[in-house]
Amino acid sequence: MGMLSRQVVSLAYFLETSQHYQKTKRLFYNLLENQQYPYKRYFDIFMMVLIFSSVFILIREVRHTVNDFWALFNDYIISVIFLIEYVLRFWVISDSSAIIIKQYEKDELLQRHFRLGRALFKVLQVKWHYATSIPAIIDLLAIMPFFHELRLLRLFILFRVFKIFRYTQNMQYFGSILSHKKFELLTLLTFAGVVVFVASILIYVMEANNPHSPINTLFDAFYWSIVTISTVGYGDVTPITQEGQSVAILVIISGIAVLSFATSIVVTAFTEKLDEIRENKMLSDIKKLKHFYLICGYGEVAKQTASKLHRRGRNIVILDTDPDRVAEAKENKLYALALDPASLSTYKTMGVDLSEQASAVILLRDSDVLNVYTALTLRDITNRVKLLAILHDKGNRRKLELAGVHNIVYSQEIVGILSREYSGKPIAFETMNLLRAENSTTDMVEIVVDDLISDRVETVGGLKIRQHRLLLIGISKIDVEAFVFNPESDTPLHKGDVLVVVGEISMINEFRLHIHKKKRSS
Amino acid sequence: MRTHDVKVFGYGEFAKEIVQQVNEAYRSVTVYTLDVESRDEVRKGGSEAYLFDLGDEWDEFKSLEMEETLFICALDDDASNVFLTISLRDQFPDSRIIAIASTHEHASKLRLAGAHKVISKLQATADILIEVLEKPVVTHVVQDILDEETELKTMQLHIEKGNVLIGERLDSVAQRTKSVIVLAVVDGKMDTLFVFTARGYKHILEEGDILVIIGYDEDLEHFKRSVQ
Repeated sequence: MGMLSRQVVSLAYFLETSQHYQKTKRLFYNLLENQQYPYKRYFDIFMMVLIFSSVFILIREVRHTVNDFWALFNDYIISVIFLIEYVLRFWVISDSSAIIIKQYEKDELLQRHFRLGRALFKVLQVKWHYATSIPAIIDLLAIMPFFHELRLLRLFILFRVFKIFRYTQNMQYFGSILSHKKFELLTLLTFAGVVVFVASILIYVMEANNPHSPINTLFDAFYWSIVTISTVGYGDVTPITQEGQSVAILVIISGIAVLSFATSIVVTAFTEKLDEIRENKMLSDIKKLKHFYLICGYGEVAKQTASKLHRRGRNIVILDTDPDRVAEAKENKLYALALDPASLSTYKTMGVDLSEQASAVILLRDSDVLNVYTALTLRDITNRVKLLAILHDKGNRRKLELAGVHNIVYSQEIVGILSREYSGKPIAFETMNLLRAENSTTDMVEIVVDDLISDRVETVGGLKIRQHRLLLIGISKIDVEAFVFNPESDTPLHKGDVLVVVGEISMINEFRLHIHKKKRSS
Repeated sequence: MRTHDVKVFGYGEFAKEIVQQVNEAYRSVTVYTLDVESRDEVRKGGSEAYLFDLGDEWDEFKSLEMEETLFICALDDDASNVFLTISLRDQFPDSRIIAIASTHEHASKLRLAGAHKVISKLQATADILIEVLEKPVVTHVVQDILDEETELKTMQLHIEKGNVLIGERLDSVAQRTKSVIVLAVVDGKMDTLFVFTARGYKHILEEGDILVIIGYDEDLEHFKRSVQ
């Protein structure tokens, strides 16, 4: 292996193993290309502001004098930023060192000389492929106003507007939808091109020799054809001979056909892709949620649970393999995806961080087998998410516990306990029910002792809870990890303790405000 | 009104749990099943069981003291459960009936059929799930109260003639004791339930009122003795 080859391979290995280099490259890749990267949206907004400022300056300087700063800003600063962006995209779009290493290792395996030329060719091929793509060409043209001395090149500022496609996802969807109908659109364009070409020549032949006709040149004929086929018909250029008018009739009919077909192709493309667009939009919305409850399965219990949580203003995401159930969940205005909750690929597709975003996962699938399997899938992803599950068969409780489910709810047992309680103490039962009912004016709530409360109030007596017409049922003490029922007034309060308070909702809200407001005013 | 006899109709998954729970709390629990296999299964478990059908032969129930009897309708089939409820209401207008509903729609039919209390399987499960998620400490407290093995309990204290609390305002009753919490009161005259803190604190206790109190077993008993 030659000296140059050796140095190139060494450099490739160095770059591939350098954490700093890879980290920097990943950062720029995320910023420029990764739609899931949370900070990309700020970068996109920044770039769009630059684009619109640039266009605004272009319009302004048509009739007004733009001061030197704005001229400099437009001609140099924006252009330099775009140039840097272009270079960065060119850099991050492919992994050149990996291509070189791959070629080197392949040659080594086959025990032949490392072919540096071939490796570099592959590197350039990938880069060339990118450089000749439409977005990259637009990027390049958008830098052109940098050469502001050439007045014509200033018009390239308009290419900056096309760059907006890069920064808005909806525009990208629009482009991708139309690209699916590339063949149909190209066919139609070819047909329209042929009609324009033939009509231009025919009208020129029919009209050019007539001294009264406004069509004197081939350009006039071409202009007339375009205006007519597009059905715009300004009327500034019109054929005056009978032959010319016959051509006009054909072009008008063709124009109507071309427009109708074009409209139909675009509408069909959108109709076909509508579900996909909605799905992508939903995925994008779910990724943006800071907190949500993930419900696996959308059976009867899930419907009730989701609906109640939704009414409380919580974000709910439903996963179910049955498209009909998913459609029903969507009708109920929930985020719902027709994906298998027991598959790892589902969570990759969703692109969410379960440990951060999911407040809890509720396993409400149709059998214990599916719930155990889903629980294990989730445990494979993270241990930090709370799992709840419904139990179908009493005998499977232990299996769900082993699968890492924190809370198991067995409907039959609940109904049994409720029946027993109601039969023995119906009034006490109704009281507890009243306190837990959704639309009741009284409630039993938890108030967490935060910094503000613990700084101000040292003991239970300091809360003056009776003055607010509330009852303190007890405190879940963080220091002893136990629930203290009906605590004495000298019981100390610590940050993290949870007060269980009963009362009218309005009084509870007032109490919450009171214990926090006092601190701020003091 | 103290329940002594519980009659459970049906022996499906839910009815089995009900039988298990009420067996521990009542003197007499009888299960009525629609098929022989279920009847034999109940008998194997040591409980009393009989066959029944949805006809109008209720003669053997005629001798029951309705004030002491509770019917629990827990048939698996929704339509049959509604039919059973309406039959019981028709035959025994003064009886207390709990019915188990599978859906919201079923629950409203059971109410119309005359059930005193309808426990909806779906709603009860969803409520518990939400409580576990949104109010874990409250759930823990409620579970403690409902769990027969823990000492924290609720008690219904009937204010009868001669009770020392008669004539006292509810908030002063609450101050009498530090060991139990007076949670609510039922106004005997108006038959209305007030949560103590909300509107009931000015209520003056009279004969026939019922207090709902939370506390540990021993404290509840001590409070009861001290006021009667």
